[in-house]
Amino acid sequence: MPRRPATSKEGLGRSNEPPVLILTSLAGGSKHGYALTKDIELFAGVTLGPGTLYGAITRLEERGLIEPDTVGREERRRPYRITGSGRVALEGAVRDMQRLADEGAQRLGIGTIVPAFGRPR
Amino acid sequence: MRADRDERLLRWYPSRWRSRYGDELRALLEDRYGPAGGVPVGDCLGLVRAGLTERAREGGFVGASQGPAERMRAGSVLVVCGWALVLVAGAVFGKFSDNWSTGTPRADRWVASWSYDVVAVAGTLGCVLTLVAAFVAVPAFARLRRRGGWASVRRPVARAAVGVAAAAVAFGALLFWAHHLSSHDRNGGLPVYGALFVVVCVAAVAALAWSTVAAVAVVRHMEPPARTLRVLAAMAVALSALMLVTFAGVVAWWVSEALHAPGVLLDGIGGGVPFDSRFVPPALLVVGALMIAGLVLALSGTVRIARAARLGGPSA
Repeated sequence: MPRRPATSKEGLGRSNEPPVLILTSLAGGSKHGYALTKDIELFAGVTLGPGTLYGAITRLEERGLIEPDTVGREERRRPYRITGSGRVALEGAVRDMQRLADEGAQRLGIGTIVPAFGRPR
Repeated sequence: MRADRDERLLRWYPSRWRSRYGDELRALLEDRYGPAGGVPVGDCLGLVRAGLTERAREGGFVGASQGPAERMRAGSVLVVCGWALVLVAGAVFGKFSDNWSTGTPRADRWVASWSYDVVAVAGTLGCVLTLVAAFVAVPAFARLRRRGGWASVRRPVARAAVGVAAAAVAFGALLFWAHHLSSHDRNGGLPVYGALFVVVCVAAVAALAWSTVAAVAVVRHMEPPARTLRVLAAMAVALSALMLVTFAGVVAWWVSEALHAPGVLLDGIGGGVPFDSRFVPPALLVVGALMIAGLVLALSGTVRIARAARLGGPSA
């Protein structure tokens, strides 16, 4: 029986969905729109269109998962940073992905692909 | 040039969103495509889709950004839009089924007769319900005017008033002329009358469309008390039920006539254009398509209202 669906209305969605990509990028430090798209292209190979990017930013800010960074703020290139709730949400999404990756690896008989997140070593 | 490009794209977003994120999005477009570069078609379409989504969210039509009151209001708006489509479908059906009983054997009339009556009664009740809803909304509309909100709805309301007046005058003139014509002239014998009939139909549909736009604008701008909003939402749900009954009546009539009097369907308006069919005449296909589209809107509005009510509805 599945423990929890990877995608739910309250959750962030799957690994390649914009909210997860944006939170992952912001977990490495605050960034403005263009810097976010470049970073996401670099680590995920996904190019987010401007409409998709700002749609996701709007939802994430509404949910209090990201906020404008007041430090070093330039009016037109406002950077965003991840909030405490955002970290918790991203952590949950990463755990889900980890479980899925572990399950897949186990069924394929190729062992654990990456060290388990938060698992005692 | 670049400013024009950005403004064109940003216009798809609601003004509140633009004032919050507009400058950032402009900066992103500038960083990404350069000061004079063109935005690829895919990204343009993405911006259009995202802008429309933001508008739908701001209006409470989708998502959970808005509170229960706004969602209830959005649900009611969807039902009103659905009703407009069903009204057009009903008018086409009324014209198509004109004199249907003369072409149907007496013994086979009862199902068609019963379902035809159901359509007529449900349609009339729907119209009455719409008028009562308009009456219920009058105090809230008066408050909207008092607090200076008239400017935001003046244009659509004026356009609807002019459209309805023009359609009424054209319809009255057509009716007056029709009384002086023979049945043959009225049914294709006189091309000028046929052309005027089409013009009046187009005017009536335009008037209905403008009236719907005006009603939507008024509903979106006025702030009715919680109780009034609940009453209007309940009426919208009842209207959806009537639309469902109307659709069922049309389908029952259609099936009955197709089985017992296919000649009626063949000789109805639009018969033979663009194809000849005793069972699926083009006019009834249009009626069916319009009714299904209207029902989809109305039922999605009803679901929106029901979900908002489950969240507690508008607070007093």
